[in-house]
Amino acid sequence: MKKEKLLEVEQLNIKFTTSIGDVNVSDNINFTLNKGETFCIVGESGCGKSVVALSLTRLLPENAVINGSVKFEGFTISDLDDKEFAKIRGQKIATIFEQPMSCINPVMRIGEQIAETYRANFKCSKKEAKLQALKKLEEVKLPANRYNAYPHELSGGMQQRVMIAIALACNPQLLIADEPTTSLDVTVQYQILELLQELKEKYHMTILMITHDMGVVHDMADRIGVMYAGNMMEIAERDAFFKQPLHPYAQELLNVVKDPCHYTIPGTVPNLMEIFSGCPFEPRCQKATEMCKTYKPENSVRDERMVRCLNVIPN
Amino acid sequence: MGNNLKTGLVLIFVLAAIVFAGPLIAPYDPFEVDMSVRLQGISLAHIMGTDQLGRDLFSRLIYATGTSVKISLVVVAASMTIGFIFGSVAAFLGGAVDEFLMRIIDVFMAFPTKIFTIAIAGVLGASAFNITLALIFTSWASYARMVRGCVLTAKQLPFIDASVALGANRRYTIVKHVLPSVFQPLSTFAFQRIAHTMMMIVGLSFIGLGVQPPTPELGAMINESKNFMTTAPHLFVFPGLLISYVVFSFNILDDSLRDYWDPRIKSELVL
Amino acid sequence: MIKYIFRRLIYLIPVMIITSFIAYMLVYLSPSSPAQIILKARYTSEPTQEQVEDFNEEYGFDKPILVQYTSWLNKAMHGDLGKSLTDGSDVLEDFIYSFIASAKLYFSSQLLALLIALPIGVYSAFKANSLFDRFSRAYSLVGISLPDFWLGMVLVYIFSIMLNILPSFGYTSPKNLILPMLALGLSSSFSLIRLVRTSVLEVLHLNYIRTARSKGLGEGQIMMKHALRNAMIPIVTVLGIHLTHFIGGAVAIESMFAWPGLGNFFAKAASSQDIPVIQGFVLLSAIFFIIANLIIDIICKQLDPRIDFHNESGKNNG
Repeated sequence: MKKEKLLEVEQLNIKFTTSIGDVNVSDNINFTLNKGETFCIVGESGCGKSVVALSLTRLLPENAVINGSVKFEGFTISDLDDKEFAKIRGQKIATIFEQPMSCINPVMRIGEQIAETYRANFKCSKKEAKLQALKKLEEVKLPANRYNAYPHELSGGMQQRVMIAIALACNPQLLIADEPTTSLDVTVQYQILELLQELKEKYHMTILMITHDMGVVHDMADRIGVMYAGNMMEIAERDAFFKQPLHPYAQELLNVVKDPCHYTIPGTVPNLMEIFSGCPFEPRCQKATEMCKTYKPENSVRDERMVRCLNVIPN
Repeated sequence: MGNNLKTGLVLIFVLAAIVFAGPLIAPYDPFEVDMSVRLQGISLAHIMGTDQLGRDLFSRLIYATGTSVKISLVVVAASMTIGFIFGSVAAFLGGAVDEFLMRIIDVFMAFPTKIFTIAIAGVLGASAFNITLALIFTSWASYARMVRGCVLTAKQLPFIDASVALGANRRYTIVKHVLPSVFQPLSTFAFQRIAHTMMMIVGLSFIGLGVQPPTPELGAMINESKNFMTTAPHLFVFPGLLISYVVFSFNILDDSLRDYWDPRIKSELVL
Repeated sequence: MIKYIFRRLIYLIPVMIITSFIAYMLVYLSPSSPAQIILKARYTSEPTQEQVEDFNEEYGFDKPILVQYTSWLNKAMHGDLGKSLTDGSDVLEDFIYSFIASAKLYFSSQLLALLIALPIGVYSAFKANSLFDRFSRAYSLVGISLPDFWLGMVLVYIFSIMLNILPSFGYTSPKNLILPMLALGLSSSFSLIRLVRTSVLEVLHLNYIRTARSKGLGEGQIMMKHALRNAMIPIVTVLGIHLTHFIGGAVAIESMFAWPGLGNFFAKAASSQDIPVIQGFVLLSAIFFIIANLIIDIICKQLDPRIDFHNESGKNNG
């Protein structure tokens, strides 16, 4: 079965220029998203997952310098100017964020915020937009009478539903979900994930999900990308990944999941202002060799699997 | 250290020199009347000209700046002290005492400061001393409220409970840890108020309710100059520029200090 | 809402009683009695004992203070604030007259200030750290250091003395309004620019602006629909605090341009110890001040649905 590619990211480099120096948050990252799949990027906090996700729709602060090529449906969108790019946001690629409370406008009725998205992307009357917004409210399982509610009148889970309704107002092809369940209760997390799964199937959406929760990855992902310190360490299909992760970092992540009470990865995530001469994971890696200190690993790819490690070759 | 901070420090240093070493710099006695040279423009003998009584404007301005700045400093220092005492007593004792003191503070806050100051200055009679009293009377309440807020917040900080739990004396802990945490916001606030107080003083002196002539004071001097605007504009231009200089120095220093302490809000790079 | 307004108005009563009492007592701080000052002004010589006694009897100053105060308060409740000692005019009428004069000056100048500050401040925040932003920040930092009355004098010097196209004082023709309005408006605009800039800048960094961008809105729409609306909340609050300028803040400008506003009138009454006028003005300004604050709170409620009146007991409880 030939898979159709929706998004292709090549040689993505991102750094933030600050007054105390540059911070490299993405180091030559390559990955592709196939139509209709859920791709999860997983990794510890502070390894650059969210930055990569936000860079795809240019939502990073102004001090971010982004290099590399991003193709959407075979069309290079990284060359578009900001005005043209705004047309892609919302309509083709939508984003949902963590902490829904701070991500929806506190002084605007939620229904209006959903309708506004629709009107921003399609020329239509206010009435049509309102109908569309009501339809979306129903899809995310919020009662229609919540149309006129303000965000602070809703619970965290309901706010995330609103966020989803806003994102899906224009039926986008790609949904970027940046830690969508992190700030929610466990039971609510499950409901939100279920809702996302349901809507994905209904609209044949592709989802790029950012998370640090292996449980979420296991439930949602078709394919998985493991990030560490701005590097994409491993990309694999879900079943193959959980059967045998190849990269030592990925193995460590799974070890933590198996025994969360007792096992931790030794050491901490490095400061991204450092420039790594070798492998960034080397100081914490139990399988590191002398070579790892001096040589930067390259991507080695075979079939659907990619690993960035000097000691591992995908079989 | 930012450029603004440097600029501010230099300006304040020059200001301090004018205020405290002024009498040494001033070429003439600021009260010396010489009708033969009245309302003269800029000249070598009088580098900023002379006023309607032939007094040297430059010398008068130096003394006048001293008057305005010193009154501002006294007002701010006194209101800060009173506010600190009231605020911390209210917050520490709590209960009925707090309630009572807060009502008093409320009344003082519920009222436009300027009207109150004018009323007091007017009733007491216009003089440098009375204007100082009036300004202290109307401004201490905002300090008190601020201190009370700070103390109440600091009292609830987890580390206070933690150190009490570890066996420290509660009152000792509060005095040792809470009071210092009040000083930084209090001094920042007080510093901000200097420029504002200065504006009040020159404003009140301008309408005749502050410092009285012949004492040199910037606002009062501008007031006197009103009748000579057509013939001797330098009489109002120079004092005005000097007021702006003083207020600007405090403002820019205040701005850059806030940036220095709280780098999250960058407003650096102004000049 | 109505319940809230009602509660706030109830709260007015103790504050008014205390402020009016302080205002009443204020007069007795004076080293010389009102009789001496007023009579001295009236006859331009030291008054005789007999004149002082007559005066005190006429105005009720011979009675104990508390008696005087309660009878004054009683009359005040019925809208009678007494008459000026200097010219015998009715205090309430005087207040209304100067209130209108102040209102004209205040609202026109604040409108001017908003018209200047909103576009500059918003653009400055939008293009933070650009050349324009730096210039506008330097401009406002210098601007807030200029005393308003001095700005007025500079304007008078330029437009009345040098160019001779605008009157430097007076109240009768609309032309009279221009210079004081310019002086007050300009001098308020400087701090307003700073306020608008920081408020907008703060909002622009918030997450929901990023959401608005992710929805595909244009920058203009983001500014108007999301950023400004939220930034207006602190701006309106501060404009409300500036309402105090309405009552006394413009006193230097009013005196400079001989504008018959509240500040000017009050300063005159204060320096001539015109007791009924001082007391009446203090009381009426306090009432106005509290009502104005209430209106501002209601406007804020309209702007910000998160403000909950029910959970808020009297505003000043700290």
